[in-house]
Amino acid sequence: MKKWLLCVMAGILLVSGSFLSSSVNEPPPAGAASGNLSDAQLQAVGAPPCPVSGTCVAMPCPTPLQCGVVEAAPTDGIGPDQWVYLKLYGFSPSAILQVDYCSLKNANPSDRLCAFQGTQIQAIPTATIQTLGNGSINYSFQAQQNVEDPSSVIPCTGIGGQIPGVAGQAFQCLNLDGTANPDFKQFYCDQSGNNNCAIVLVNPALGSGNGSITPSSSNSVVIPLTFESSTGNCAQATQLITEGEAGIDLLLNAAAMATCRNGGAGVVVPFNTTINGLEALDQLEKGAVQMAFTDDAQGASQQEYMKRDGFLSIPIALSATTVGYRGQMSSQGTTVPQSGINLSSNMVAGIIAGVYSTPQSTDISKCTFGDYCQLFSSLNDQAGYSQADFLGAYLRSDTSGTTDHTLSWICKSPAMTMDFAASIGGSGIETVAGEEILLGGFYPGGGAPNGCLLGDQFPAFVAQNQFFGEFSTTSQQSLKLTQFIASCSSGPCDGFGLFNWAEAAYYGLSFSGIQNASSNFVAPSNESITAGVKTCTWDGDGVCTPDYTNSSQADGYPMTTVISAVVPRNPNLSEADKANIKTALTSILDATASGTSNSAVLPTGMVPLPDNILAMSRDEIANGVGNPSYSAPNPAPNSSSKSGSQNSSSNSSSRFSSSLGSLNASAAGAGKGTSKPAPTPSSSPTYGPFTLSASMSRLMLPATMVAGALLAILGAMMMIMSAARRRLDARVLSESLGEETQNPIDVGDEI
Amino acid sequence: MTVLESEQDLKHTVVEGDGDLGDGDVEEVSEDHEKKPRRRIDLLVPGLIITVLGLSLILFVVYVFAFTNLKEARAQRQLLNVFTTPAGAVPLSGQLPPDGAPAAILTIPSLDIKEVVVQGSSATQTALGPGLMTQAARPGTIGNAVILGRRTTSGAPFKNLSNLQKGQGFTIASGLGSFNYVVTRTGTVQAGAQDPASPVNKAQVTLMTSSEPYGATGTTYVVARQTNTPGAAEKPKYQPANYQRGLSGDPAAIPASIILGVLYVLAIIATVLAYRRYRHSIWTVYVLSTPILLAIAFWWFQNLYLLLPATT
Repeated sequence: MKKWLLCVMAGILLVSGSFLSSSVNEPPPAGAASGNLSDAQLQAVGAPPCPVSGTCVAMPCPTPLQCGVVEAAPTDGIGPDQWVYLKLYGFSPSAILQVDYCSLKNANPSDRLCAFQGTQIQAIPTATIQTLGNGSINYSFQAQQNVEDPSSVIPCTGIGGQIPGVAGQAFQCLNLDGTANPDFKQFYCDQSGNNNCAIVLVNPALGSGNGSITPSSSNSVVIPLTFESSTGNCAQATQLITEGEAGIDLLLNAAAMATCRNGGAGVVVPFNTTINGLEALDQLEKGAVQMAFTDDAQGASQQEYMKRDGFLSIPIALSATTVGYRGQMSSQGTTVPQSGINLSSNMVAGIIAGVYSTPQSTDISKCTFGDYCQLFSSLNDQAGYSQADFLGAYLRSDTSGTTDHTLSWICKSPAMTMDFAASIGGSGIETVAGEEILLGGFYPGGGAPNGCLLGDQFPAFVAQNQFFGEFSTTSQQSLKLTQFIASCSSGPCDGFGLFNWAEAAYYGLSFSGIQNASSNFVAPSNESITAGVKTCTWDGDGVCTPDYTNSSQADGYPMTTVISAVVPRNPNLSEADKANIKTALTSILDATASGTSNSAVLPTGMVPLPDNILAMSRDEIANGVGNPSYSAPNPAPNSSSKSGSQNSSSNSSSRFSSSLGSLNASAAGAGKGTSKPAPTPSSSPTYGPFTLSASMSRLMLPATMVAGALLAILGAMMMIMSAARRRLDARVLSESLGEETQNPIDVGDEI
Repeated sequence: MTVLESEQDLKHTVVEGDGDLGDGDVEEVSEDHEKKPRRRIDLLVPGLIITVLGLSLILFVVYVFAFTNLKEARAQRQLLNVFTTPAGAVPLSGQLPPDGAPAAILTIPSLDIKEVVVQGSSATQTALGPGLMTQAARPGTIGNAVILGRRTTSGAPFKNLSNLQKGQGFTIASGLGSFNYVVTRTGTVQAGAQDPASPVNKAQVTLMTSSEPYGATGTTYVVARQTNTPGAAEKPKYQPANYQRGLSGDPAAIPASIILGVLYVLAIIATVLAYRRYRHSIWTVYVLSTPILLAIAFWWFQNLYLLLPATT
């Protein structure tokens, strides 16, 4: 009996073990995104923790986690045409993968419609990417919200779709007779439960192994996306989804939603964020609005308003001006996304001035291993990969803080030695002034202004090549960059643009590492931005002027910016208006400041204020709104700022006048470019102007011609005279001898 | 040759009674006949010398206007080949080429110019093509890169330089890269004014030639701003000498010009003597002496030509 029981139990255990074993080895169902991977699981494949508002899933695999994991962010509450970053880890080297944008309406993974045709908004609806040698790759992919309107009778309003890898499903919107085709394959993506969409990543090498790009439960992973509600899931809140200049819309929206989630009434911000900072100040001056947002209060054009109207700038977040790009590089004929670019200020100048259309064009300088080398190529070399053949630039044509920041950085940052990529070794140094590059590019026909090119708007110019253009919004810039990359058929290419960090992140751009005053190449991050703001000089208006020559922050991002709300100090401001402004700004700071429960909601590209600057902002809100005698205190040199700002006064009550003097000096220097270090000796002439001098040799040729002719004539005459005399002599001789002689004339003629 | 033969025939008339008259003999006969002690100077020999000299100078002018063009065209082909041979590794490495070596290719579409630019700007170098002033910036770098070209001789590459208009573009490709330029200024300056080749702190190139076809006392110049990102390169420390600035000849050619001039005169004298000594073998003398005379003459002309201003 006992033996019988043991046998039964052993049998049960055996069956259970087999079942468990088989269930472990069985591929997970499609829709593995249902649960995020844990940080430990991600760490096992060398991936960082899953981002906030992101999705982290593993590819289906016989051995869990051995076929790669995907981190995608943001995937929750994204904007209408926001981009999603995909970071892949643990894949096979050089694995070719398919990325699709698909509807989840059909439960069967193999029957789902996916976008296949580029549109004005979504230029690249499907992409093929290849992992690098370490099995990783970063890629950004654009989502597209397309809200279904059941009441609409207009056909073809959805996203044209087909099943990837299945032939015979050409896009056809209308029947030949013009009537709507019920078989038209289209789908919608919106926040309703009926139109869920997802990014689908297919590895054709998995599953059946037949190389099919048709998604299935065994070869693909689904990353569901949710779009933000038009009300931010908070009925009371004013939803701001319009596009601002410096990511203000993203910041305020996040603040509103955070407040909402806390059960608050929401932040009602009746301000137009579709205008740029300069126009916002203009409207504030005219009384059209009570608050303006800007990222360039230190700019010369905005300073005019600040000083003229006595405005007060209240920092609400930190951000950065970035050199965003979409890029490609190639390996053995295969194009892969560009993974990392470093740029010096001169390189940025060359790119945005449109004169730097290829990496090999003109970037020549002194190197440790030779007299001349290409700095760009040497700096960005990646073993085994060829860099882009063409560089493009797409700029803002209107006034923009990003333009002002970038030009100031180029004109003021010193030329420094740079260490090349490890695959190249050595280092090089630029000896060219960024001023020269800017003026040469924007004023090829002359007429350049004196000094460096500064200001918040590029001059009118004629694009010098096809990879260069101007646009008035970040979305247009981003779209052009996407189209530029998609059109690079003759070789890999990199397209660049100047963006606010948050805007660039929204559009899925990669960020260049740019060279700071310590000669380090730094990409934007929360840490580098927080370090970078320590180089600020603060004035009594609460305005930060960054010092691009300050080398005290080795890891600081050079073009750190301060997003601020500009408010009037006009004493005539009504108490109600004061209260509204204070409430709105306090709500924003409460929702976004570091250490608050909601700081995590800040969009990528926005950094919470350090404590010392936050304290200054709160002081300004409490005491400065509507107070003409108020002067903002300098941020205290606390732990978050003590090592950075050389201009941070130990006296927190440092007031308006001294700070103003500092600002004026900086502005004057900027105008004349005097902050730019003197050119290195090698670029300076070693002798001065000299005068033109002519020599007597100039007369040699005409003299020779004249002399030759005269001598020939003279000689001929002499010979003729001689012959004539001989003839005379012969005649005399003939007569005197009285005999016939030969005719001397014949002799003379012969002569 | 006809002259010399006639001269000899003249001698034969008097001395040998065959109708020839010799100059010295004529004098003696004349003196004997008229019994007068005075000697008349016959102009035949001086006239002959002066004529030969004049014809030589005219031949030099022909050389300047005809043969230098051929030489320049030949030099251009040879220089262009350097870029396509292993020797091209030198100019394409970015190193400063030695004087006389190809330094760049200048392309001016509006003037239909595509010339190999030679390193150096003395008359010796500009005889081969446009010359890049060594004591100035290099094209593609910060500074004033100066290219001198001839206006009248050696193919006259810069004959129409003054036709370049503001805004027109051209390209210079060198070992440092390919650089685009846009004309920003044109003009003419006379001696005493600031030389357009003077250094500046901008990336530009100045094309220069003489202001007049002959005897120019000034320079026609075109200043063009570089539109590419300028690179860095070592700058020369010394101001260019006069002979490198376009309006002077190459002083290095002076000794050779003198020596070859003397040699040419001696060759003529020797030829005359040969004709007189071997008057019955005129054709032999002709065949032997003429190539030597012409070779020396062209050698002399070649050096004499280098004494002309480098931009003529």
